Amino acid sequence: MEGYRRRASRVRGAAVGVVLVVGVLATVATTPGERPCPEPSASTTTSAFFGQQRSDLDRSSWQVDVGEQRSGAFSVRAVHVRVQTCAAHGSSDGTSPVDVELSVVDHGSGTTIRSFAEAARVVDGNGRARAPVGVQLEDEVTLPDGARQQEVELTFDLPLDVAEPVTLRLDDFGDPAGGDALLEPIPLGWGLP
Amino acid sequence: MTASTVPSVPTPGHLRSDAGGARAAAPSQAGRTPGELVLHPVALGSLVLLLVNDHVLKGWGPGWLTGKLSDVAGLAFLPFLLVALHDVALRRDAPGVRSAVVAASSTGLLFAAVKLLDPVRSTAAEAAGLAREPLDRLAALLTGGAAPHGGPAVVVADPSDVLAVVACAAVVLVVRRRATAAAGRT
Repeated sequence: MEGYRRRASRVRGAAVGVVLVVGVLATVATTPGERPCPEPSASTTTSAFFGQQRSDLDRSSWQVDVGEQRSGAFSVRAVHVRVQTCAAHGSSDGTSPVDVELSVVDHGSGTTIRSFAEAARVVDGNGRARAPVGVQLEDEVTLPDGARQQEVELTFDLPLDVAEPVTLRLDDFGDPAGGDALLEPIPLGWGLP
Repeated sequence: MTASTVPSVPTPGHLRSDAGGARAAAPSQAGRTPGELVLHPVALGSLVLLLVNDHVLKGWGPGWLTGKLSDVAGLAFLPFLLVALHDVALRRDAPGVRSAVVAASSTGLLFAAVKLLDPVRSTAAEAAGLAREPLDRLAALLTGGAAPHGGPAVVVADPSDVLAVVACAAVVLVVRRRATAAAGRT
């Protein structure tokens, strides 16, 4: 009985120790929101597109409500943009990755959604175009009307001095009916639309 | 609390005064583990909520609700932590109501000051940034993530957050209940 009590006491003491340590760490490492970007020095570049200077809440991602844009064979909806905050700091090559997630539906283009996604371009206000450096596709889903839908994540390396407006352009090269060459450019800037 | 509940043999613990005489009714050192207050379900629940909210829920959907949950859970747990650490350090009688009131009120006042006063908020942001820096570096090292930015943490200046200080009272209620239960046993 005495041995049992001693063991129980030791276990209880260990439990207290664990909770105290975890509690102290949890209190210190509680998530206080994002930290502010350091003040840019004279030698660093910041742009309106990156960093927290444009948003008090500093959400590094946002949703662009594009409804459903359809032109010929493809339609696109639910565009989600994710950038790295404070991107101007610590980046040596003058670019920063921007992830753009979108839902693409192929209504019978005769090509693949991957080809469609790889042809995407981000164009900034100075007319500079960037092709995706990464294209990831989730499993394909066949819709009731026979169309194929895939979630696509595109990664672009955008220059830190990117000029607004920044838009995503999707080439509708697969349109069998020969409709518009491009879907409407999709604005990707902060808080848009 | 009646005089009959006070043990007849005086000890240093009995000579200390405490709010409402609760210390006199607190369990004796024998048979208890210093700091065991943090094992109370309210304390454990608050800690779990704080961890899940800050490290899971905020990642899924940062917003008003997760911000308030973090405040409430943190303010409920921190006084338990302070009382338990004090208990472990002193290793005397079980914590009394006075200790709980001091921990709860100091936590609540500090939190209110951080939320309402600019100089206190900026000092707290600096301190929080410094305190979590080593943990952030360790986490980055272990996960292969980006190194922390450094600098002060962001403390949101939202006066409505002060309402959450009500959660600090949890430790007082728990300690008073334990003291009352202990008094009933003697």
